[in-house]
Amino acid sequence: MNEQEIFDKVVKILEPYVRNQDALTDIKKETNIVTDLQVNSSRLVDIILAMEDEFDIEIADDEADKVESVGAAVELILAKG
Amino acid sequence: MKIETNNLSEDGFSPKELKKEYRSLSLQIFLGWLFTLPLGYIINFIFRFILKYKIHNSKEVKETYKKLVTTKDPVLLCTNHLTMIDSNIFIWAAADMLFYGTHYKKLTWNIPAKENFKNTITRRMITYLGKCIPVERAGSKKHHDMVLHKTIYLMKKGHVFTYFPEGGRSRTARIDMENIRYGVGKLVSEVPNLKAVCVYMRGDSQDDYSEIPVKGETFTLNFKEFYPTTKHTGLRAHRDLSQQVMETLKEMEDEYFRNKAGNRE
Repeated sequence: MNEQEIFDKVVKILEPYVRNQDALTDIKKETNIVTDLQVNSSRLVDIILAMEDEFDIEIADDEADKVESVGAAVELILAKG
Repeated sequence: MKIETNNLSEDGFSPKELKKEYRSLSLQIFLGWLFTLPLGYIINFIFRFILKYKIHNSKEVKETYKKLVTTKDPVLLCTNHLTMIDSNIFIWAAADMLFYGTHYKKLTWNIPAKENFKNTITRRMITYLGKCIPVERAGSKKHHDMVLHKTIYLMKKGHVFTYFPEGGRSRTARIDMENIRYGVGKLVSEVPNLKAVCVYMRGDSQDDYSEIPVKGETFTLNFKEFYPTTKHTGLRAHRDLSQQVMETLKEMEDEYFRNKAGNRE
């Protein structure tokens, strides 16, 4: 899976939790999950677990804490690959 | 300066840091205990005679609470959340001040969000003496880890804690499964033999969330205890355990409204 495919899958995982739907139209690597997409911070755990299931990886708590942007999520998944 | 990493606790705190925090907690407990009766009677006066609050089956509520918390197992009260003073009302309703004075560990701690309170000296004093560990929602990971560490430390010593699984006051005035916080599950997974006591508290006329309940309100308090377990580990365990607590609260809420409808007929 290449970086763009991972990016697209990450966006798909985030979509149900995004409260600022306008921000989805211009989503970039730098897009912050909580502040730009307005994802409820309580739902970050669900997102991490969904990424684990989708990409068949394990994400440690301290790794999960560093996932603040879409790009950070993509990089983490690439590193696990 | 060489940092002794091999003496750090599992969550990354040095013995020096922890000693300082534990001493600070001991002082807070001692001072809080000294002020239990005077503060308690002031709150009782305000709730009973100024706000004119009442509790349905008050004697039974107090007896139930005493039975639930008089146990060697750590107790976590998991409560629904409608107003800014739910914790105060609960403490007032659940036991009298003499019980708290002689069983100070059973006067529940709370973890209020610092952002919700203006930083006045009065508020800081009340939260300090009232067994609160304020948490900054937007605080650093280290801050959140320390709040959790202190909570676990105190619970293992037999102190009761209150946690609101919804995080904040419910904007729908009902248990909001969409707003579940997984902190309660994390706590349950970190404290062995933890007994969860779900508390559903609601005033007869409470249809919405608010700052404080209306004057003259009468409250119903229901309890349900269980020992949450999970086959999962890590974040999945936190989620599973939190969902168990929320589902229990939801069931209690449904039962409350069924009983209310039944009483009207």
